[in-house]
Amino acid sequence: MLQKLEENIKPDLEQLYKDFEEEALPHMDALYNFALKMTGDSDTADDLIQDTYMKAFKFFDKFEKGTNCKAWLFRILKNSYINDYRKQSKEPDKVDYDDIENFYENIKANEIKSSHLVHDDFSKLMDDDISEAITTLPEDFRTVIILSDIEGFTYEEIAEFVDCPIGTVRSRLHRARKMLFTKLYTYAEDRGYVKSDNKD
Amino acid sequence: MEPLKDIYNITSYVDGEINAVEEELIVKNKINSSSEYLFEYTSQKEVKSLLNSRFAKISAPDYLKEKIKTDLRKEVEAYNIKKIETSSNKSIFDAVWDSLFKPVPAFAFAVVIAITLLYFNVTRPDGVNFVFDHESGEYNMVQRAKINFDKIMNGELTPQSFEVEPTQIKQFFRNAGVRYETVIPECTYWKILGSVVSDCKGEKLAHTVYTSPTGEIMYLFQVDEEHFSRYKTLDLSQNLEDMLNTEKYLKFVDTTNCIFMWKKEGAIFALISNGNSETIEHDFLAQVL
Repeated sequence: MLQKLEENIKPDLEQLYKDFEEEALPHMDALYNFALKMTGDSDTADDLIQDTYMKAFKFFDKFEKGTNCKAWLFRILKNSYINDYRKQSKEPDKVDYDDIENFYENIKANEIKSSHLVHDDFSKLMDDDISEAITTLPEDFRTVIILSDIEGFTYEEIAEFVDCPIGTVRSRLHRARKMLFTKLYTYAEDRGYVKSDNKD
Repeated sequence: MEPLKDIYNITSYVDGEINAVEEELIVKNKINSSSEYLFEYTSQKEVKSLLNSRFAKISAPDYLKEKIKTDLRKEVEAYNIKKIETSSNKSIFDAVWDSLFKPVPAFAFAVVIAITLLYFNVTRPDGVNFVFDHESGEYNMVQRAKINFDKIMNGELTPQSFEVEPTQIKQFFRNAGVRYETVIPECTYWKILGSVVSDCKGEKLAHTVYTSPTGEIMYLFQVDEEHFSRYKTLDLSQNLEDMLNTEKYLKFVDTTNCIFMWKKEGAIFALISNGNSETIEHDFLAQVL
């Protein structure tokens, strides 16, 4: 009797797996790419994706069909990252945004003064420099810039992934780019890619 | 410096997120007529194109895709094996059920079962036994709750407010700087004794103390989920977090105290008492959950 009741109450796992295979598994590439950028390490990204999918399957019967599965998976991934993986990796040093703002304004003033407004100084930078600059961003900023500028998601999609208003996505994106620009400018300057007439 | 709204509009423009043509024209004009706006535009555009061109989208490796599929299949297989084993051990009771499984008796029986299940769900919430021994660390919620409860019992921690009305208590929490919405359950057996606001990493946290007619103490500590995931004020083991996500409530009873934990509407609750655990489950948790 209990068995019969159980069969009625518990979802059919075979069917659940089929639905999961159709709805959740196709998003693995996008999730992996994001995990790789967040962790900066392929082994850790593998583990993070594995954990995310196992957790997602565990709770898939609670997932509301017809809603955004990709956003739901991203939220699980992000929470897993925060809870389990961030503890293992070294947190970037805290960024003083006022310092960056001042530095950025100085660069801007110099660039405007020298009419050097369109430049390709960053194109000479190595990929490692750019990766390093991304990893120094605070997590919330790193998340939006990866989702927007690397993954190509819209503001609306990002807002759903990170569970915040669209206005917050935009302001974080703006700040993230400013921080990254400042960092990359410093690298370019150190390596002599920024023309000397741009300096004071 | 340019107004922030204009700067954010440039961000939207760079990302192709401006829908109105007129608005797009305004932004374009600003960029063309001001060197400051032009700098903002080029700097953002440059960062965006650099990231887009340098970081190709990398697909998940095939071995990982296969591994995940295999592990998921294993989960399904394990469940199926369990199901077959259970159904092969048919009891006499099952045989009786099988013989009863005809339209009319089955319907009547189902009604009886449904009423019985409903009765049990209403009168006795389904808790799961859980050992909280693995919860450790200075900022672990269970550890904090245990320490606070001991302090209450030793008279080292006394209520800061003796309000007994839930609305007044909520007001007290708000005034004291608690940033999240609190729940103050009321119960006929357990009466509110008072409330305390504690400070953890600069965040204010809410606690309520109850007492029974026979003088037992029940202590309730409630914290918004954001304090675990976002602000990192407190923590819990991953296992406990997973259990709280799946079970109605968790309980641990020893010879002196009982601990209950549950999650509801974005908040995590820890309850410790030296009272009778069954009374708490029937009188308190049945109302709260």
